Amino acid sequence: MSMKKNLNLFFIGLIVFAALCSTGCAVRYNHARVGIVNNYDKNMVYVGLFIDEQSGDASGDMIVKVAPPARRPLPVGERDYLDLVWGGGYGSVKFAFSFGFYDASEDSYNVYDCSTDYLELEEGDEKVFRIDSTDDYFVN
Amino acid sequence: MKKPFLLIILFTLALPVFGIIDTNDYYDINLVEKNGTFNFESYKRSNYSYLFGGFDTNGYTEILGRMRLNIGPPELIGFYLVSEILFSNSDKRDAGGEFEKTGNTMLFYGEAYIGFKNKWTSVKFGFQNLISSDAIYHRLLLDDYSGPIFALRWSQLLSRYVDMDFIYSFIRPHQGEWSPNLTTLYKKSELYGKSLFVKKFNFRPLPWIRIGLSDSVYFLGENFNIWFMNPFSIYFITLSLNKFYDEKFGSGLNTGASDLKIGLDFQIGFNGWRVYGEFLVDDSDAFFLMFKYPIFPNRIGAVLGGEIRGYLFTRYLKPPKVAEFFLKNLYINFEYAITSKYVYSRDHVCNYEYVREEYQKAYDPRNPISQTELDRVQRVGNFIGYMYGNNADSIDIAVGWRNDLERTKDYGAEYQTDVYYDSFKKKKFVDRLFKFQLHYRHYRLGDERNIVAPYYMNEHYYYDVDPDLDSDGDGVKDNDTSNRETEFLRVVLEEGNIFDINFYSDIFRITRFVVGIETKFNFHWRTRLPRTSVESTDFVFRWEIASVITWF
Repeated sequence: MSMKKNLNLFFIGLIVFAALCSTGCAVRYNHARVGIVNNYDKNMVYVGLFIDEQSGDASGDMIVKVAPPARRPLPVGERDYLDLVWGGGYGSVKFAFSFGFYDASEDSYNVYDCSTDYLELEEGDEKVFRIDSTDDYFVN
Repeated sequence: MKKPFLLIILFTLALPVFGIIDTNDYYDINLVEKNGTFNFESYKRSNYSYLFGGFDTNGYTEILGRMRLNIGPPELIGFYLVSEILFSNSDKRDAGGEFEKTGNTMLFYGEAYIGFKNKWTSVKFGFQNLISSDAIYHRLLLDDYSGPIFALRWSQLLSRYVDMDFIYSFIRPHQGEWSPNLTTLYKKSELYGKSLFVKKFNFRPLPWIRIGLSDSVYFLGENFNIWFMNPFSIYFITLSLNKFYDEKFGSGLNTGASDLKIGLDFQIGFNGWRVYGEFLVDDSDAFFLMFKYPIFPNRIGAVLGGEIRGYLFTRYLKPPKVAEFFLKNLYINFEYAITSKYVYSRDHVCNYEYVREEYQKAYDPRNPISQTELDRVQRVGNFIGYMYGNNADSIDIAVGWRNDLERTKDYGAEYQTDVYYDSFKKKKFVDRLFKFQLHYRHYRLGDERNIVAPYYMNEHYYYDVDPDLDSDGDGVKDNDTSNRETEFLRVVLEEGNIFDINFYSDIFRITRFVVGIETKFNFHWRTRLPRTSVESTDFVFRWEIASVITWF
């Protein structure tokens, strides 16, 4: 009887151990949230430019991931957010916005007209880029 | 006897009385529930009608009726006709148009085809649910989740060792002039046709081992492309002949917008056990099919699954009679499906979104579409293949019991050699049917599941800014490589758990008509940005109930 009891305890212990191990080994991801505010006087289109741990260092290897906009176009005075996720265990990543304003003469947008500088982002960061004009913005 | 007759008349008038359906985020109509072994159709109960009610904690309500007829006149041995019609009213769906007059109650079609079959050959023509392997829940090349496709399917036994299966399907008719340059069509707001032609050969070294090889092409434009009609062609060669034909006939093959896919699938098993799998290689054209060009990561998917039925064990264990009845009708199945990033995505010139409805304008990198628009295109149920699209995976596990299990065919694609061997089996039809199933699914959706924007535009921002960029500096602009490799769910942005309890029971039977009731309790947990500091989980409970009339 005690042999059976010990066996049962062994198996229960094994399951608990496996469950604990699997919880401990669970993948975690880093997350940062970036916002953009259109403080200019024209509608805007934008994309996020995201360089995460997958990118190589050489220029030919550099991966700049293009994060699609949440809204298109972004009306005057309004804001949007993007959620960025990258591998857990990796430190910071770089992020910038590329954006363009409505060009009435051509009735079009060019999202690559202007861009912000790359900002270093850490896990849990929340940053908002306020775009005041084609070459003026601030981050808080 | 009067009461049952009155009930029958009542149910018949209330046509089609219920079947359990599935819903996605967009409440698309006629999604085909993936119920596998639990499925309705079992041998002769191929006619049914049902009236269905569905309710969930998100405020979804639906009343739906469906009738399916499978008519095989005895005077025309082998010929038969399948027709399905349904009506639905859901407050989550805006039927619009003419259906505004009916208070948003819309009518819709399901399968509708004519067929001829015997043990050696089978031909089906019309709208039909098509699948590309014997898997229970998911298939990669062709999946029936979002309903029927217009197609001609011919399955032919060549010998006991080989059968062939041809599918010429029109996903969408071509509307407008044909131009190899689809930008022209986009500018004119015309919709190009979408077609999928599949040639498949199944090899059987033994009756219980099937190995299938498929060669298929998904092409855009005119649906009848004569160069792809040849059943004995090899699409890789056909595409490679383009220049030769151009010189000989003065024009190419109009195959410029063609996407080759090759597949390998198998099923092994008999007498209550089986394992199966499917492997798909998706690539934009012949040059990239050979895995030689590092500029593109490989685009692949795989499915692996199996099923065990209780009678496999009771045959040898000989338990007491009551225990035997319970155990022999018990089944368990398991399936895992995974697709890599970029499967089903578009080519760099033409548009290969492997979906039924796509973003309808030429992709403009200077004015990229929004995440909302991307999500709409890539919604679950819009893909022609795997229902979750690219960079996703899923695990399905089900345990069930049905009293006719020994007579229930494996859920599969019905290849002709299966039909041939099945014709030798004894068939008995149960008088009463009772089914019960517990099913669990865990699925994950990765990042950059973007099939509308070309993947190298996702990664090479520089390419958009400067299309003449020669990043490796070798003087050749179009051979720049990427350090991206084939990826499977490196980062997960959404995961979900679905648990459902299914139940069906016959209630009474008169002559060949059986009245039954089916119900389903569906629990769905969806976690966004899982395993991050901001993860959040939504829970939706859905209850479905249907009264069913089946007959044979």
